Amino acid sequence: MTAIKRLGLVPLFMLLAACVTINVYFPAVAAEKAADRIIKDVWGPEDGAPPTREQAPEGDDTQGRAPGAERPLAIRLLDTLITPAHAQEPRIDISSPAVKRLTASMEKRFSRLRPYYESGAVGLTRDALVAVRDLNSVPLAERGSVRQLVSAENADRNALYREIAVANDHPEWEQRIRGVFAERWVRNARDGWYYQNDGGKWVRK
Amino acid sequence: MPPGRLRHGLAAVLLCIATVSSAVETFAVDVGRAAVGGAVVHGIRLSYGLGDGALTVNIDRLDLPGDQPPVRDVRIDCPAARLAPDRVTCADARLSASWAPVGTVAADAAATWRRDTGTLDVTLPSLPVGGSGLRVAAHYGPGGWRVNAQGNGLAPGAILALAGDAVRGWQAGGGTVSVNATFSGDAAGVLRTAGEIVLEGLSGGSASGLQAAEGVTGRLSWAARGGDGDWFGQTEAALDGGQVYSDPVFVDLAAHPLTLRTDLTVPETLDSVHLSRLRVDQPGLVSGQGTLTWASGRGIVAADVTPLTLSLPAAYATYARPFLTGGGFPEVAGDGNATLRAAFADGVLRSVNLRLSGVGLDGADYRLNGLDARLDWRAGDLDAPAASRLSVQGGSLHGVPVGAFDARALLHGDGGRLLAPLRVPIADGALAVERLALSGLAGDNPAAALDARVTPISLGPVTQALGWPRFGGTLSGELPTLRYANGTASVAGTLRIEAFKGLIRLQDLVLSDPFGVAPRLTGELTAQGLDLETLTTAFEFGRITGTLEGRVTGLRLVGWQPAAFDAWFHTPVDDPVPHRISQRAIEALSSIGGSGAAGALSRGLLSVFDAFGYARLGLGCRLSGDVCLMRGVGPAENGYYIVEGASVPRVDVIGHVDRVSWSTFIRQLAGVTAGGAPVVE
Repeated sequence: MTAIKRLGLVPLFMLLAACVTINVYFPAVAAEKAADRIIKDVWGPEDGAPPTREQAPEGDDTQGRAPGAERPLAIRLLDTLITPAHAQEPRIDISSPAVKRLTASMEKRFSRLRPYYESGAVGLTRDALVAVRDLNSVPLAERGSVRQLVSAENADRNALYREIAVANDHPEWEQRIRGVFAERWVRNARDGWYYQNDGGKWVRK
Repeated sequence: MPPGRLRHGLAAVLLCIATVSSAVETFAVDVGRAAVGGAVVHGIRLSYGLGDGALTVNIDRLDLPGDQPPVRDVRIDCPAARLAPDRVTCADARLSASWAPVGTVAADAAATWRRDTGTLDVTLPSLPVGGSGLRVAAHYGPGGWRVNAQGNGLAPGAILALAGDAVRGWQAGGGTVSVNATFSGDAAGVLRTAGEIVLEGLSGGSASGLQAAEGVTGRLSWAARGGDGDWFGQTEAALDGGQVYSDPVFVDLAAHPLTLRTDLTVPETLDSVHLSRLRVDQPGLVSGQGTLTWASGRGIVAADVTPLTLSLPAAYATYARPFLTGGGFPEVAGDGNATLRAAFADGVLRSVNLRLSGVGLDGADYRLNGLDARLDWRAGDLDAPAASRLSVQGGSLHGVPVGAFDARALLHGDGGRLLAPLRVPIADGALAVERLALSGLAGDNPAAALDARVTPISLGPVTQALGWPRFGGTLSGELPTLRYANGTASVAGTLRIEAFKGLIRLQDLVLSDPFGVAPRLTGELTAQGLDLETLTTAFEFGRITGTLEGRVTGLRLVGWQPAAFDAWFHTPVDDPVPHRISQRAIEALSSIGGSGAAGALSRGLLSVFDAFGYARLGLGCRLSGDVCLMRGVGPAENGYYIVEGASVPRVDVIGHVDRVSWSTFIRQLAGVTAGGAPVVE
């Protein structure tokens, strides 16, 4: 009889475990929006129309959570018990001093990097960094400074992805955040700039 | 008879007819193999038409000295050779040959063989190379052989092709190359060479763009002799126009013409080069001399700089700064010069001796003027270095004046230590360093250990220099151990700031990534016995009398901006100082609480009072993210007391907002008022 009672606890543990799983989802859409805000700060508004990809309302994470109606009733009940903090719409905080400072540093550098994005000398890599694509198109006197700009930009970008993950108390999200940025930098890039496709090949946008 | 045997028989008959026919009309010689001046000739066949005087020479393969690829399929057609008793002349010959670096070439040629002197002279008036003609004249005789090649206005692409593997993948742009080179020798090989190459507006570079030249003009000349083993020679390169980039260094040769002159020795094996009496002159940048040994596959194996004089700041900007990436590196300011001596042997740096005079350093937050140094460093502990000395006339740190100081140190291996205590005057105080030891400088994790103390520095001029409100007091402290390792500096002592007639202690300070974009500082702060009157007057905050004490725990600054802390400042329970607060101070405190009481008191009945008595005051903020969780000295209705009044008339300042945006709070502290007014009872 005791054994049967213990057996009865199993579904409850499973439900609790399921509940925890919901809360560690990476908030992909929120991360995209955060990335877009940072990219807009760094690159400024696009000369034409701003980039649009806003089907989902702010903070809603359709990738992170299945639609409510499709989930078991018990889990939805537990959701309401454990709320409100955990079931709030996921957000990515980009207001930490480190993130602000890194963003400002990259924004300041952008005016110097911009001509090289436009000439194709520098391109956006698939790992959310920048790289010298065609040094031969850069005048000799500027080659050293282009390489230093790229190196400094990459140091800032690597620190940015790490600091966003840390500021959101999820250092393990760094690679996910980098992945989101890799896609958003390219999406926000101006026409004519170069980026690396999934195969690592340079493509002109 | 089987069909196969029949075919073999037929072939034999046809061959027979051909041989008989040639025996009648031509004279043919098959030499086979011959060696001429280090070159080996394989498969030479000569045929001479007895009727028409047509001479044909075929050479299957010509192996050249050194690592050059062989010349193949050489054919010399001389349609009308003149055979005289003492000579054979062929004035209008045609030469064709294949050589990998240039492909198949064909050119007119003239040759004369003299029986009496035993000499052969061959001239190619215009060998097509690099879009132009190369005049080649060769002489062979009992005394030896000599080849001279001259060409003007050759395209650089052809020269790149001749240079072989060293420049594989390089691309030539515009410009021309003119060559005049002579090689001579005997049956054993090349004995002498001399010549010059003139570059006119030469452009080109490696495929990666990391090595490149644009519009380079200059002249390279050489003279060398060999024979018994080693080669000896002199060479000079003078480049006086255009630009070159060799990652990460860029040099404008028009602005800074470069001359290199050296004696050189190359062993018979041709696998290394030793440059002696190497002299470099580049006006406005560097001049000096030294020696250098380069070995194939190993690069530079030894070098001595004896010495090199660098004109600062141009030489630093051109040759040193491009290598220094990342933050923290200063610019060199002011006209000074540096003299460098260095020894590099067996692939490692053995010693460096650097003298600097009249140099200025300009960092992001600091500046040093009149820097003179004599730095001596040795690689191993066995070679005792001389004491290094550094003296600075003065400078500034974050705008705070730094006085003259003099440091003596011993530098060796991957570290160094201070030989005598160092005193760096800062404002009217000083940083006194008793001990400083550096280690692991060659690795990725340099470490420093420092025992130092700050002798009292007046805060007045310091705060003024920092652009803060000027206030009195002094800064002093002990830094019993400051360690720097893995990019993190930590202080094991307590830094004491005597200010506002009280004492502020900073403890457990740890600074990470000090030269990065966002340096991180963590620590704890305690304040005791601060005089509120001095404090509020200094910050133009009205006037409050009393004593203030407090504590900041879990302080974390990122990029010098607060990221987290828990601060609590209040008047002590048994404060001996009378508690008075001015109208202006009440209004200022109210503003901080997110309210706008400005004028509330001065407009009302209470405006007749300048100041009010108070029982206690206190304000706390726990910062997390951008949110400051506020608290006061005690709970009030719908809020908390910031100031708890006393006597009559009693004025309380009550905060109603417990969560304040930090950025808003700072704005309000700076005097901006916003939001609803506090309750003034």
